[in-house]
Amino acid sequence: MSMPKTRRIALLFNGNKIFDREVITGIADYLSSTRTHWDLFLEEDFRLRLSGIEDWQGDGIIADFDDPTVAATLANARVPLVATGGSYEDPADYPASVPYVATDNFKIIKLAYEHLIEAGLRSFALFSLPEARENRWAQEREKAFMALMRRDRMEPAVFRGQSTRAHTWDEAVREQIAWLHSLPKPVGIVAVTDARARQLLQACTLAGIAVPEQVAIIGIDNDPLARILTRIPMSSVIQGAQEMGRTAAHLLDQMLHGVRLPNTRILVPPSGINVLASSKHEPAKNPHVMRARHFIRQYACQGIKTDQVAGYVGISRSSLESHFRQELGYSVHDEILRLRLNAAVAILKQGDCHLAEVALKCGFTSSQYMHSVFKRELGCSPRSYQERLRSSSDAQEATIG
Amino acid sequence: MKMESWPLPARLFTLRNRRDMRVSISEHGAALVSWWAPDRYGRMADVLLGYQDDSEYADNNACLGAVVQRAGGAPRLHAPSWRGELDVGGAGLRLRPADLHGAGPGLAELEVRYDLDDEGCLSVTYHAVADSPALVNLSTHACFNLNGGQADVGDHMLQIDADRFLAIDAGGALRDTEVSGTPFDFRRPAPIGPRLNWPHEQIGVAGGFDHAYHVGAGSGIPRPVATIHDPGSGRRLQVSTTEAGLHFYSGNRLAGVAGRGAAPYARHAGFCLEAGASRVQRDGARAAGLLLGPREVYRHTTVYRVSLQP
Repeated sequence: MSMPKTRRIALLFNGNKIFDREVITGIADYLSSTRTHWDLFLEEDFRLRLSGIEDWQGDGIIADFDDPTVAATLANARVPLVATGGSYEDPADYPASVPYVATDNFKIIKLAYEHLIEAGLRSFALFSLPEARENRWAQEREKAFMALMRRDRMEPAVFRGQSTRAHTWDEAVREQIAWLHSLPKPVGIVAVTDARARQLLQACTLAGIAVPEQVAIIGIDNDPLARILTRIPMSSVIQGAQEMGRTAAHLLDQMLHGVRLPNTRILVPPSGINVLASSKHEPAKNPHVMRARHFIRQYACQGIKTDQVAGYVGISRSSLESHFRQELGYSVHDEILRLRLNAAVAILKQGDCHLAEVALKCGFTSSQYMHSVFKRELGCSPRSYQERLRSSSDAQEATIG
Repeated sequence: MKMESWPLPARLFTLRNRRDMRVSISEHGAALVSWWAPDRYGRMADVLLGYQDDSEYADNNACLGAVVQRAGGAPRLHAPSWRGELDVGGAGLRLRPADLHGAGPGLAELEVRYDLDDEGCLSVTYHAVADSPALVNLSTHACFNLNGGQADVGDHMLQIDADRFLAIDAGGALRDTEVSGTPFDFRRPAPIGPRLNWPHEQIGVAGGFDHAYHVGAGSGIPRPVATIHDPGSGRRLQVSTTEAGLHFYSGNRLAGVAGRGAAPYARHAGFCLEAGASRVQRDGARAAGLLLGPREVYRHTTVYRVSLQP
């Protein structure tokens, strides 16, 4: 029986980064599970160097194409090559004719964003990085965030800040604090990496901003080092990096057996979220009440009824009512009315309007009904409430004048 | 007048636990109809695929949630009308003697029990007795989607404790195969979607995963064989079984099935992890069958546990 042929494979990664290490771990896992014999070529200090790679006499390469220099150097590689990197919104941005295994940037941001929504946040922002050739993934994450904001009809708040350098450190932190102060509170912030999230947590501490009550933060990478360096345990999205490594190894293995895969592109979704204190916005609240209020906040003005709220939460109307009584001391219907009333008051503050229209806009079945709710809750009719507002603002103007 | 021959309306049994979970079982096909379970945020959703109307379980062309017989490749609907009763912690459903023939020849008794505990464990116990040689390999074609149907199951992270699976050869013959180096290797957790894109002929054969795994020797006590979780909702499903086989189906033929949602189900809208007898033998040949002799008793317990990914 002949020994299987040993192949010489180069792994071009920066093993000092957690993400790259995880990809390499996945490759190693594939090799040990398949008893595939590959002699791995890696730099002694696990750092990526490219000098002479064009002339390297090997059988195959798996390389990190997030680094444009790597991509350019390997453009004419004659050995079987599998690329890894981030996903792109525009298909034209992928390298041509190379099998590519990507971390799905859109799904990463979507997972982080939806986590913040479920944690009860209503305002969102993204903390990114200054644009650079090496971090196109950060721009892709910005694009994903913008797309989600557009989908949900919100203004995207994206801050790139400065890259971290010793001599501009203080200025960078000042800018971060100013940005944090400028955001409406409470706000949920997605940081494009854990390192970025950690800086923001530090800025919050310096500025005396409560995390997660005022600013909830989630990073990306689930980097244990970044987690150790923060006082508030930091939430993070776990990328499918190991599976990327296994997938890339499988593709290269197939190519070494003569399978041609020039247009294969496999996107790997994130594998989970590590939810810790930095994003647990409303940890103590009854989850059903939280869900119900989330729904009511969105739809109170569209004439919803208690049954629909219970249906959304997925429990019976009577148990939802009892959770409400226990947690808030009032009924689901009261909460709906409270939000309708707030919405009506906000419109009345703007000045002249038809009461019938206001009632309709705010989900009241009629202007008579709105009238009676005003009477009961505020002790006056909508019109006299509006007059009161007007006279008080007149009085204010008089004082200022 | 013979009252008992009149078709009685099928009933729906609902089990509950302290985690606010609700599991419903229909007398039609003894089917697992729905399983409401909380996500990471306490939001309840149904993690099972199913029909809008209980009456639709009477024909159940997609076998959703039904107790099935897996003799060949595809699941076969067992019998439509069971009679059940609710007792402490669970529901037991039996086939009446008149309906037993529909379950296949040779059976004298057939009972399925569903029990839900406060840890979120749903135990499904099958019990059958034969009066003449009968082929028995029961399972539940429960089709899960842990995100409650907000997206397909492509991002679900699956882990199966199996070194071997049955590859399907041309003509449908089964071949004992090692999982290593193939997309079928789920010994470490991996997302289903990307694995469907790995270049491998067996994915093409079934239009996805529709293969039996060998998960060790059968035993009297259920042992953990698979875990799957959904990163978005944080829900996790753990499967333990007394059986040696686990069939993994990635919902390849669900497209167009009109279920509970506003739109029909899409491909990969759900997945099944069905425990049953394994046909992998030590020598790699197909087992003779799962033949139950006269007066022999068939017992099988599979436990599905829904909880949160820590």
